[in-house]
Amino acid sequence: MGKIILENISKTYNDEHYAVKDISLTIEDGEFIIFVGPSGCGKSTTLRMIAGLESISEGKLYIDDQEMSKASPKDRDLSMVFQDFALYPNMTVYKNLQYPLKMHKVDKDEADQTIHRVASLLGLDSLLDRKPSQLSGGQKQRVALGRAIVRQPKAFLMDEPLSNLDAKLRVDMRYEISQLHQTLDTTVVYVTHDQTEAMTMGDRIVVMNHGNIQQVGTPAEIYNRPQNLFVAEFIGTPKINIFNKELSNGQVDWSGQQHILVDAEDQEVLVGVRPENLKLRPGKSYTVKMIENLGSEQHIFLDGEDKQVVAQVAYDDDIQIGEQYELTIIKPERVNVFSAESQESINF
Amino acid sequence: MNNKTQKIIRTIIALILVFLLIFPVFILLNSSLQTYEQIRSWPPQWFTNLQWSNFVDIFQGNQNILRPLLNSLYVSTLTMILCVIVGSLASYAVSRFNFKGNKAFLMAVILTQMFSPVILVTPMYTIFRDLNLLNSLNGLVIANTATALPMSIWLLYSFFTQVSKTYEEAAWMDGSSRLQAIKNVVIPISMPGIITAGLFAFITAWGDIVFVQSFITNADLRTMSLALLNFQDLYKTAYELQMAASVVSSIPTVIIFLAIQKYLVRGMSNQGLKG
Repeated sequence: MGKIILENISKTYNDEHYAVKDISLTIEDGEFIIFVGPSGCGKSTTLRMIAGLESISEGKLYIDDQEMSKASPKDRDLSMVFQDFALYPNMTVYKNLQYPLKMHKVDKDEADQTIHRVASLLGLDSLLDRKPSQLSGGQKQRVALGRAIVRQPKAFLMDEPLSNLDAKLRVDMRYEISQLHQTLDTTVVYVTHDQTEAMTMGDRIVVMNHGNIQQVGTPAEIYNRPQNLFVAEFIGTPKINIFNKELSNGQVDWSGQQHILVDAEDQEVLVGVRPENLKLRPGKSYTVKMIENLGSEQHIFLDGEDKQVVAQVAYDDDIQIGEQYELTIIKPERVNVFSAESQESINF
Repeated sequence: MNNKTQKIIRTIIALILVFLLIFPVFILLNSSLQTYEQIRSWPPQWFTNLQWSNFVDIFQGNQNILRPLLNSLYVSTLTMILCVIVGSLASYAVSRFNFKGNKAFLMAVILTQMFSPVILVTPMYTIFRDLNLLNSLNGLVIANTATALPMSIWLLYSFFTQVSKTYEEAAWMDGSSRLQAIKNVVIPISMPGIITAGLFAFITAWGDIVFVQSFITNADLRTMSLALLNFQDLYKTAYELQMAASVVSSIPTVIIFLAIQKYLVRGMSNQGLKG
């Protein structure tokens, strides 16, 4: 079991400024939930409050229906992987893996078996006698993961565990952590600022900003139906294109030829179109300024009258810098429309 | 100047420095193995006609240094233990808890270092007299701890602040209490700092002459530094015995230093972190 409930939780250091403000969330048993947001948005503070490493200023925290708001970290039965791994430098890999079991008074023989099982799961068998100073970044990361999974806690908390790894290793570890979650079927609360990690690993994503939850949903919901402009702009690479338009008579006019239907009052709106939902056709409005060829696709950066736009096209589309185009929306029903005033979505 | 010449010059300078540092030790060893007449003779004689009997003589008669040696070991060891325990707890608290007066405490600690023991000895004498601590080895322990503790706290404070708090947090998440985390993780990681602070306290107490000369009148309670002065009298200073006793008096610190040297060299406060 590993159900975690956050009930109106806030964190403040001086009663004026809130690092986290009144957040409520239920994390289901076995769920892989990801907190994502820019630096200083409160995601790590929230994780640390769940862990017990940070006190909760207001609100309540339940783990498996037991209130744990004031319990010490050791009594919450959670394990954590830290951003900087935090392996005990005075202990070998074996002792690092053994430490949580020792603290939980697990029988020595049973602990030994578990350590070897986990070591073999993570490919650490040959490293058990080494000290952390003799390990590479990736190996340290594996040991940190091993130390977290060596006992069966109610949930794993992971605070940007991949941010100190190089790009290739990060992709490998992303896969391994997802595999591990499927094998162990334990609740995982994962904090990252990397939206690729958020989109690829989580069952659900919690997008945070300024200490508030902006949206909770599956990766597809977050990507396709962002509830506000912040979520739309934060998720997606390249960033979503935003156009200032007028909503009148239930429709937004797109370059005179296409219309986006929105069931809302007449008002100024912001229209968000993902780069892959834009198609280039010959015209005069936008000029190609730069092309990023990623091999599998191309990102075309275009300058309009007062706007820069990015479109994603196939790798073999023949587009040259300096050429001029018009923009067409491929699927108008996938366009996001936000109120210019509140910046909240008005079409989903 | 090419690289080779630079290297030669650097080596020569290094050799001169090492020679300057080692030369007094060399004279100490040489004098401890000579007769009084050899020491006074010119030109000096180097390691000829070795008088090993000097080392026997200092453990015999009324200039026997065995008792002072044991007294010094008692005072220095106890001072070291007290400084390490009190210093570790104080510096851990200052480095980890953000309480009111945190900075003021550290400033007060460093301020106490501004007073030399000579200034402190008179008020201490009055207090110790009232507390019946004169002519007592424990009185010396207290006086030396008071002198060495502030520096120990600063040494340990600078060390504890370098030990990432994440190690402790990891230990808490793994099921440790705060004390278990300190015992199993923080102290082993901080061992080089703790040893440095302990060594500092030991050497401070071992070399003390001001307190022992002021507080101790009983011959049985003399420490090594006072016993070394005992070889001087009105008409003659027995340099050969004084030097032999000095050699013996240096042995404990040298042994301790050699034994813990590897810990001093090896700092590991960030070895378990990223990278």
